[in-house]
Amino acid sequence: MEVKEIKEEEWESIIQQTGKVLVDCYAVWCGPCKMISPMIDELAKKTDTCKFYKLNVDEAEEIAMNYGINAIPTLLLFEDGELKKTSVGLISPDELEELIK
Amino acid sequence: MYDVIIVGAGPAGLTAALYAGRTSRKILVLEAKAYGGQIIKANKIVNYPGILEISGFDFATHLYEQVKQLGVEIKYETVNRIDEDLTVHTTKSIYQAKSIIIATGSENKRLNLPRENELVGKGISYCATCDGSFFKGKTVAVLGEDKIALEDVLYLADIVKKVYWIPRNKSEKENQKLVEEIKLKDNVERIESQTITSLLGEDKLEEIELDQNQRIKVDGLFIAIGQSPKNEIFKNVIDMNEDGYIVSDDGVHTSHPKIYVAGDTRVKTLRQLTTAVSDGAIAATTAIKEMED
Repeated sequence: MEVKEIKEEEWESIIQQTGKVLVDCYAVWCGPCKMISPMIDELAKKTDTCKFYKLNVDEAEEIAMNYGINAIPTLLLFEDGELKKTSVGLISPDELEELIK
Repeated sequence: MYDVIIVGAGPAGLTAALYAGRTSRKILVLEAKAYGGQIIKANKIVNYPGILEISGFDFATHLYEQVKQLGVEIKYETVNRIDEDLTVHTTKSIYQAKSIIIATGSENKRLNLPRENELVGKGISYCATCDGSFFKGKTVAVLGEDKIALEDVLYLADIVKKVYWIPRNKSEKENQKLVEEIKLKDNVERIESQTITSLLGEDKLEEIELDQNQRIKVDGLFIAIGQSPKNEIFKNVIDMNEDGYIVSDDGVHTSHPKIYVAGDTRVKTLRQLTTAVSDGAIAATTAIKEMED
């Protein structure tokens, strides 16, 4: 599966989906974000139990503020519309797999 | 069996791989998280000889590509232990090496206060240039007195409403020029305190408690109290100093004849990109040469 970029207006409908949804909150100027995004691409390719999205926090300041995001990369894992896990900072591919379990 | 196992894929480890990878030797790089190490956080590198300006991410990626082109194996596994006989135990496997280069770098020093880990990303940060923009119009504190801490204060002063600077009453004389610049900022208030004793807040950081029970309301706290190495797991096989940095008399050899060290993780006077890559080159050529002797 491909990692889709979320637009601010799509936010609610995306996170309210049934099942697991992982959102990679990033910014274009953030080095660690650039390191984690290929890991998420890899994981998305081999995973069908979770949907993967990315959110540019500079273009969605309100969402970032609502979720109290003040460091990136921040990964938000929703399940049936509910925020289940939050992970802040660069993590390993193994930790990433663990996060969506 | 690998000829050289390199632990860590930051600038020192990857440079070691670049040099070792140009020989016919079998090389393995083990990295716990992602290649590049701390340099990926640098927005701009402007003091690397011969390169006018490059982002830390681009630098790391070019170096990584260079190493990959040589066919060096890079595996993402965390090393848990190294034995005297150079067996390397990771989270996934066990490897045997003829020599090992430790290039595990260092990480931001933590205060080790209760709730510190839990509040990272919820008000606590160790990188002002990474996370500062989330605090536009807000109030933050910066703890620390070294050059990085002072630069953080100046950087944040231009973004946030107010900066409380807590230099822990230590001398910041070496960086007098930066201190003078800070004095010119109207929104920076210097707080005399030895340290932070408590982190308060429900879901996010709301207040910090200083010694003498003084409390300050903040939205963010930037901790810039230096670096610490991650060498606990090697202490059964090699010598370290009291801060956990690996001791090396000549900058390459450790107390084990076949374990070498490179980069920030060793005892050294200057921890910079240039010295890390220099270490990596020397460690790799020394390890290979001593294998042939």
